Amino acid sequence: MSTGVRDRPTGQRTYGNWRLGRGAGLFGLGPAGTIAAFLVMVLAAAMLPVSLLASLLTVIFGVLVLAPLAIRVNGRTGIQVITARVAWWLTRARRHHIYVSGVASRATAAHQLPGVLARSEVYEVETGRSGTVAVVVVPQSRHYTVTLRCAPEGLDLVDQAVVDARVAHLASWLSALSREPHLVQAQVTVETTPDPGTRLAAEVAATSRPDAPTLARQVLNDVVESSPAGSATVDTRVSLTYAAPPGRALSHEDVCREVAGRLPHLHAGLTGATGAGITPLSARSLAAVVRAAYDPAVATDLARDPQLTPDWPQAGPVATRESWDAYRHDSAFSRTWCMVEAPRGVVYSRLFARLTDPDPQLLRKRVTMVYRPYPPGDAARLVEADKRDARFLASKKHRPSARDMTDVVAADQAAEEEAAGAGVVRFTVLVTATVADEKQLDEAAGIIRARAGEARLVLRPMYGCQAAGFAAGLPAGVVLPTHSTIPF
Amino acid sequence: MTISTRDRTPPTPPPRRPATRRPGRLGYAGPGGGRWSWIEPPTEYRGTTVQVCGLFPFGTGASTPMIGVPVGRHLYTGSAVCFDPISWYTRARLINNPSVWIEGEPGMGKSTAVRRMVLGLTAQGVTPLILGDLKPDYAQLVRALGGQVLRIGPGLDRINPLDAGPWRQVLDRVDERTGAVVRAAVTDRRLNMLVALATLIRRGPVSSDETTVLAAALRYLAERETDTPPVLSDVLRILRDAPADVRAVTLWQEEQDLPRFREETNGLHRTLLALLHGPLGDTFEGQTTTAIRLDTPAVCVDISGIDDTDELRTAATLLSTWSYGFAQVEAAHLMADLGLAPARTFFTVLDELWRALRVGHGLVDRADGLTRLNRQKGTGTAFITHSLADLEALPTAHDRAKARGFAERSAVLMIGPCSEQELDSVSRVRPLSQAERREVLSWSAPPSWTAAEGGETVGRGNFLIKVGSRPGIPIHLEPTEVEKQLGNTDFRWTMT
Repeated sequence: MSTGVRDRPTGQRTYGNWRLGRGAGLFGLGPAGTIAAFLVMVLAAAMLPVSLLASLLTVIFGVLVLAPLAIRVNGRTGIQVITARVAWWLTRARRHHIYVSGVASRATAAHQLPGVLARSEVYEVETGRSGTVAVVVVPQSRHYTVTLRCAPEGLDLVDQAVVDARVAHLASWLSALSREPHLVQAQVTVETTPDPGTRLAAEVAATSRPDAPTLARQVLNDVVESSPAGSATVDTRVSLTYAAPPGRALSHEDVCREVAGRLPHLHAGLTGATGAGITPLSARSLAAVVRAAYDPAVATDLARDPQLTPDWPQAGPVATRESWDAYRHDSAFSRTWCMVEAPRGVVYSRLFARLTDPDPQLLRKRVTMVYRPYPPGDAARLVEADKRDARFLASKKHRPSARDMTDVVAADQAAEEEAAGAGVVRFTVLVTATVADEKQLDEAAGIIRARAGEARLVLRPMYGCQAAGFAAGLPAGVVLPTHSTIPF
Repeated sequence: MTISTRDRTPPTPPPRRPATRRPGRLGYAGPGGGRWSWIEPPTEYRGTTVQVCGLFPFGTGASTPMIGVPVGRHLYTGSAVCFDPISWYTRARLINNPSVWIEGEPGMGKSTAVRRMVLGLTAQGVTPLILGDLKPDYAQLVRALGGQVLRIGPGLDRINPLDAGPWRQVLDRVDERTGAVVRAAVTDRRLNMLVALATLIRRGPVSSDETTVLAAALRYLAERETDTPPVLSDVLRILRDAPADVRAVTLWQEEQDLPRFREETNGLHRTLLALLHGPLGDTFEGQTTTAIRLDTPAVCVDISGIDDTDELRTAATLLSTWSYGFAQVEAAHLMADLGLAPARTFFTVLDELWRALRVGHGLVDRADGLTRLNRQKGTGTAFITHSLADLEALPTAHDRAKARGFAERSAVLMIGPCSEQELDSVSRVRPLSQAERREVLSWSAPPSWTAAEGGETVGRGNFLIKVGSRPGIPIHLEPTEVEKQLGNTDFRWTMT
């Protein structure tokens, strides 16, 4: 592995050199926007001999149309901001922001998952290696998602060399993903559930004998009273979403079987990054995860008795209500943030854990890292284009700024890394904080803001898109860009 | 390869509701349908995989299970940590044998940790056996739990080194084969004990010929044993009488070879005499005065009556205590297997292991033999020592390796505050990361010269729980008020 863009004198490996995932373009417009802008300019120039007024009007009209595309507010284009407002207003007017399932519902009798996931189904496939694996199928986009559960060892008291080796394993796993045919998205979700303070008491109560000496029971009671909170439960899941191979009419079962067949080798690659103990999730565990996310009140019951877990079509919430910046679901309130800006400059590998570490004040917290790898062909083209653009920008000026020069170096390095076998991957981060009471949402926002600051990410709430954002962190294979209302 | 479909189609809608229909692409339309009308693609960054991996999402480690006795709080997160070897072996299945090796400098909380485990396990119905309490750290605790405290020492209680527990009761109820196995196990245990004592008293090895003769004598005694076990003088008597059965294992089987036999066993004879009439005689000659009663909540063998500086007596007493204690446990397991007694789980605590091991050459082997159990399942073991580096000072490489073996075989290492040299020894047994070493070392250093009001020694009660090659769990154990009263180890410091 090559070293980072800028090495610190300490010699510890740093990482960085990521850029916004848009294609190159002028004035902050995407490739399509740039072409449109050129057309407007050409049109205006062509009109110039005819009429100055018409030419001016064309330019003004063009600016008016293109400006919302070019102006970005918190990572969203002006168009998105406006559409989100309009869409939200329409949603409210049509009362789509409320979801009721079951007997009281006019839409569905089963407690199905809401939105895109309403049509989702779960197939169980034998892997031949580690039992059955459940595949979630989202039929409208023909996406197939399998989920693995890992038990990482964490970074506490681990030597940097070991951490570096794990991170390097993750790198090779990610680049293996980019060569994986039809892989749409890989997501790593770290869900932390702080102990409400009942688990230690439950353990002591369950193991203590009634005929035990009084002294022993007294001391244990003292201990339970003095340290009520146990450690937070950390559930780390890796979900892989595949698309159906195009052109062939395959049944869902066939695709599921194919997806399960790819699992062993990806599974092996992941072991180096997380440590041993990776297991594919069964349909029951998947349903339990989803059920506990929508209704945290039942989570402890589900953990105690897995038999209580409903089937997938019944694992959804009974009722949810989406608002502009929060999501009420069954017994809790959640807010979902998305990444607007990745850490600037270089980072150390221990940095991101600041975001995923448990927060005892929250009912639960879900941090999802979403990877969307580029196929190797696209990746090569992309890094070469970046290189060309950076060179162009630097050479255009009489005296290139330091930033331009850094850009050139960075683009060169990315191209070198790609040539040496690395893949190119898009990534984003989604964070969902769940609290029991609406009043605690502000506190949760403060906690997440602080956490994001420590991890040097810039997050913003997914305004008007809370229900979808919430579901995107679940191991159900919601690929937000695929379903997005406006694709740019 | 089989496929089972959990749900192919959404459940059929009830007919009385014409509004019900298949969900659309974005969910059910209509009021209360929860259709997602605005889905926004999140901002994405891109980079090469060798850089993006730096935002490492696997940095938060899975937590330890809440299974076992609450032994303290995690040093970093402050959350409760549960651990005891028995629960982690039987219920959590995290370790492959129920043993723990606890080490740390004196006065840094070793006995507090053991006391907590003893208390917690007693509540679970496990019977702790503290085999050899030198301070005494645990006598008061065991008394308060309503357990049995044996005081061993000159003028106090006595353990017969050849006492192998209530094994005679078992013999009548088992078939020939099992009987032979039991008999062999008893002879083996006694032989181990006897050789250990001989090694101690002569401060040198016992030759293989001598061991063979002792084994024959012990077998001879076991065959003729009634309800009372033999004592040391019985062995001496057999050696003097030299019956044919004992001579059969030597080269001098004929009657006329008797003088040669006497000559050859001269050294052994002398050793036994020294054992019986030498400085240790009053401790070991005679029947056990008070038997261990395993039906009490806990048992403590208090050997604090022995002078600390009398290394020989301390080592010999520790060895015989272990031998006797483990024999009792074996017998109890055997009786439970035969349905003669309820199945019980034991937690044996071997305190100050090094005091016994370092005295003599070859003792490590003997201790190994004495503390090994045929049925590991029902017994957890805690080995406590203040130093593994001390054992490095043993004379032979063989002994050193064996001594390390004690720690190696322990499934869990609990390392308290200790020195750098000590950590070197530990890492020879189980690799420690630099980060772990730094952490443990930081516990022994005072943070500053200014003594805080009511401040404790910095790292007292801190332990690193090391399971296999996984990163250690740093914990802090704070005794409760009751525990503090029970085990005031440095009560002499308390100025009233």
